Amino acid sequence: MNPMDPSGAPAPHSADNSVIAVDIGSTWTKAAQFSHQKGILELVRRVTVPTTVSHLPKGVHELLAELRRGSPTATECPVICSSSAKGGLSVVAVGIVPDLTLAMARQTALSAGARISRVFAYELTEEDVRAIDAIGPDIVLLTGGTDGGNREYVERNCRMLTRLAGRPHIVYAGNRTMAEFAANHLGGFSVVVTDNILPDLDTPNPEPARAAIRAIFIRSITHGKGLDELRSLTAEPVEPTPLVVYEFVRTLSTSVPGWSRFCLVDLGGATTDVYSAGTGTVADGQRIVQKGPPPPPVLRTVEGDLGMRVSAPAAVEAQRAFWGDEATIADMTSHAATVSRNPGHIAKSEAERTRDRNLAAACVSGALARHAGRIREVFTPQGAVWVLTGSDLRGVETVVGSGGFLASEDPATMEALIHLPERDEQNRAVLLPQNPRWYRDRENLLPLFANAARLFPHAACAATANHWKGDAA
Amino acid sequence: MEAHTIVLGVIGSDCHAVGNKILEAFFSDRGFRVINLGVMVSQDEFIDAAIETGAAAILVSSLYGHGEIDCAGFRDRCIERGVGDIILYVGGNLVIGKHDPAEVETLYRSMGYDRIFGPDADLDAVADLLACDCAAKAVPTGTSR
Ligand code: B12
Repeated sequence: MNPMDPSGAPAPHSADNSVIAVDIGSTWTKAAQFSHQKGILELVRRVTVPTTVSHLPKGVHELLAELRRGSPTATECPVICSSSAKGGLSVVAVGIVPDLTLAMARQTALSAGARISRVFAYELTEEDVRAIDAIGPDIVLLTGGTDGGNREYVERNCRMLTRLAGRPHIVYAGNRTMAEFAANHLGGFSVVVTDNILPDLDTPNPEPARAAIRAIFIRSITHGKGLDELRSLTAEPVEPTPLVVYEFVRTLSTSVPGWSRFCLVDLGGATTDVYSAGTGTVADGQRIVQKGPPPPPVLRTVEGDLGMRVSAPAAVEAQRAFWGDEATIADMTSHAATVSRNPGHIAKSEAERTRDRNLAAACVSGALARHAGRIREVFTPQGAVWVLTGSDLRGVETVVGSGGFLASEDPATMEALIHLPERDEQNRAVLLPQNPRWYRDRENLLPLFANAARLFPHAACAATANHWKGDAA
Repeated sequence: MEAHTIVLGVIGSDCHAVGNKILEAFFSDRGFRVINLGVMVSQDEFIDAAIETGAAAILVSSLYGHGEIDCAGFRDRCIERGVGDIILYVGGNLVIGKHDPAEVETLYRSMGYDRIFGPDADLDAVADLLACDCAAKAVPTGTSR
């Protein structure tokens, strides 16, 4: 349903107050025209075609033609585009200690919009090298050691990477002392050396490595996917969809009143992505002690085993405890087996729809619980002290559900089905939102709004906040 | 000459923060690169930090009387984690009540600590010993081409 009929739109329209946002997903390519009115964007029209995998620009051209048919404003206005098609941006992350450089490497790649194909801690083995070749990632993010710190693992891992048969791009963001060694040693690859993602243990520094990954995507990876052809059409380069969404979450949280602390759960067929913003920590170093590198201002996590279709069987297996009783688990297992065979499957009966709702609730609950930090009470001789790790989501006021299923489902219905765990398997308290408002991304506009925000950040953020509030208003 | 990197922290559920801050300031002044993990540090956190920072030594503090439990098995854990030859010092109020210092020393040596200090240790002397131990350990590593 269109809130505004283009023919009845108030005149005058000029080219600079409209924008067309396009997102090329793995199955659908979506586009929307927004008009810029009094500081806020309004949806003019939204169109969709199946993604044309053999030649991605084809679907985009079709959508543009469709939007432009009979609409002069759509002909002149700027176009902006993101893509997660053809496997998105595949990154293999290498670090040393799982909780330190490897955790930073993983987080950095995710914040750059990557799909983490695999991670490796400590020393790469011959078998690991073969595994990387089998994956064929776009980029290997090589990290390890604080500045002036560990050299042995970094040296060894540089040597091992030279044995790769494939030629992924390599981003080196480890110990500064080893940067020259890495650059020289990996001369047979296209290597970018950036500042260390963890120059010392308390100071995460993801931005330079993020920028390097983004630049490689724009410069080289879009070419391989046929996306560079779109560059002459678009106002800005084509970027990975999750990067655009990540930046959008950041802008929304810093620019729209009432949205400083929120979570976004993007539930798809294969994965569940969670973004959180503004989850500050309450550590005071005395009664509450924070462990590990401080959490970033916007955190993105991706769960590859929680999803509505391809990952449905894995999700049911991982979330057995969500239902508890064997009869429901058996019922959900057979539902998962059915829907996983067809990624495009749409519930045909009310009974099937109910199972889908249960599956969605389990995925949302599981993904939020893994995203959230933990707090553990330690009884010292002097009394209780709290040890905190990760992001504290307790102050989060709003959770937004997006992705095809959640966009179409009443958030109140979902809220009633979602129960969040209070403790994890190790009996640590899970730092989840306490009593959040649940919203949904009606009509699944998220990636389109996020793209529009690259040109009109404030107008797009204001529009999104209104749109999401829609059901509650 | 490159500064030696050392990791500091107070082990276990111990919250005594003052001595730890003094050690940080003191060893930094004496030219060490100090990675201070603060209070309530687990064995694995010490070892994780030592690996990433390429530390030559770990200096463990225990003040609240539970050191015997918290410090046990530290060397074995270092061996398992691939940094078995790291220098390990321990100091503070290492046992509850007054014990024969020789007994305390034997106890902590058996756990694999290289040097053991009480609360009244002469820090200047400790720094000298540490510099020697680090220099002796510093075999050329890493970047040889
Ligand atoms: C202040 C204090 C507290 C404060 C701490 C505040 C804080 N956040 O720091 C509070 C009230 C919280 C507290 C609590 C407790 N405390 Co208290 N506390 C003290 C007190 C009075 C002073 C500690 C201090 O700051 N000293 C000054 C610093 C500079 O000295 P330091 O900590 O000893 O460190 C130096 C040396 O030990 C040495 N050193 C330390 N580590 C290392 C490591 C190496 C490698 C080397 C070379 C040297 C070295 O160098 C340091 C710098 O000079 C001492 C008594 C005392 N006079 O020492 C008791 C004392 C340490 N506490 C004690 C106890 C029992 C406790 C409690 C268990 C119970 C209680 N009484 O409340 C709890 C434990 C809480 C916990 N979870 O840790 C006992 C420990 C007994 C033992 N080990 O045999 C002491 C000795 C008091 C006593 N005589 O009974 N305490």
